[in-house]
Amino acid sequence: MTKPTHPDQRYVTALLNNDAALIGEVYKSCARQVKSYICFNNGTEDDAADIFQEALIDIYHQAKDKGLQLTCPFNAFVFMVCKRKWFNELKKRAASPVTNSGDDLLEGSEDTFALAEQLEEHNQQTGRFWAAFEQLGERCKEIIRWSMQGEAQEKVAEAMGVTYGYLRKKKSECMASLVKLVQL
Amino acid sequence: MALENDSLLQAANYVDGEMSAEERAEFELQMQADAELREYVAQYREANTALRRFLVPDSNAEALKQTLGSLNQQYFKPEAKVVSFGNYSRWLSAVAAVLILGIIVFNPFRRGLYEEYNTATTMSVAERGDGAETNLEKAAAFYNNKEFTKAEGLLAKEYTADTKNSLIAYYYALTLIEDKQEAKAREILQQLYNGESAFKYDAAYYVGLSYVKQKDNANAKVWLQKVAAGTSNYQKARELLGKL
Repeated sequence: MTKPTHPDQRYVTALLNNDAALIGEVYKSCARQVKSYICFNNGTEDDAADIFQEALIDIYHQAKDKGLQLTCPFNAFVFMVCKRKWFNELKKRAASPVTNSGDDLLEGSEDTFALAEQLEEHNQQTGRFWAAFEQLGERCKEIIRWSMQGEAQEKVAEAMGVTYGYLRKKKSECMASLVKLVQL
Repeated sequence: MALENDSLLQAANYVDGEMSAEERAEFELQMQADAELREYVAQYREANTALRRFLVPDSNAEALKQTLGSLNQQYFKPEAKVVSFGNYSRWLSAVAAVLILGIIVFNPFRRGLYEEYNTATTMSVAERGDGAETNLEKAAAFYNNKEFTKAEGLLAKEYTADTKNSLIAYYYALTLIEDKQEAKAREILQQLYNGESAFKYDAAYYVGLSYVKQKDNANAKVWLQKVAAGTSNYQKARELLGKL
């Protein structure tokens, strides 16, 4: 049922390891295509540079947080992610829609499409959790922020001047409110 | 949510690794029999991962951004065009006239409100004067040179090492705004605002500006109004409020 991972997975690994030489290859094989697409669709070279960089950072997060397994060529995937990002950006700017009204977003293999869709969903999900976090009360934010600092939770509790039991209980309540906010 | 508080606590302890081996085994057994609990654990995990992206500095991501920043300059900079004027010279005055008209009518050089009201254009740090440049001094040099991504990388490290230093926190947040990470910047600025440092009202001003940048005028107004009279950005904040 699961498809084999594409050999281009090495480019995903390159992003995780900040392997400049391999990332350079990605630019060599994709940058021009992305630049033409965005410049052809009411964007500038600066827009193209921003979108391309954001796409690679998103792929980094998708790999780090979700263990992204590539089942299609990397350049097809990057291009699809960039197209979708640009399409959303244009919608946000509420200017002219992308030429051929985004139909070409459906081009490319099913795998490429599905992977790009997962990435976009994950990003939106991350954004929703963050927006919910911003709505929490100050105390909750503080508890969550501190408890994520990588220290033993006993130490965190001590630094905050509360007991371990209180910290854990309070964090679980704060996280429950957060999850609830996202579901609303 | 129908789950009991005790289940919420156990789910948190399970995902955060705060359980002993026996507790884990017992909790996993409970999960097998309880779909709602399984669902909640999955959501807790998602929430945890999402928040980490904003709350836990990621030095790998910072390093990657540096790499991408320099590759971007290499692959996306506009290609220099050589134009020969020869026969075109007589067109030039006509072209110039059209351009000037265009500038008068459309004024493409008018800056956005964020750029116009961005007051913190220089970052100054106390120099130690013993020759060796500290990371903070390097960051300040990049910042003043408008190389914000480079400054951001250095400040991220300094900030991780010392989250209580208000100067570092403040300028780190400003580089984040430049780098389109407004939400993350606001998180830091709001802490500064809640504290009592010298940057308290500057932080409020920049939370406001970050919203201006994202065209969220409602939130921008709320924050610009917090800038207290008599502080350095008060006049600018008032002026900007008038324009929103």
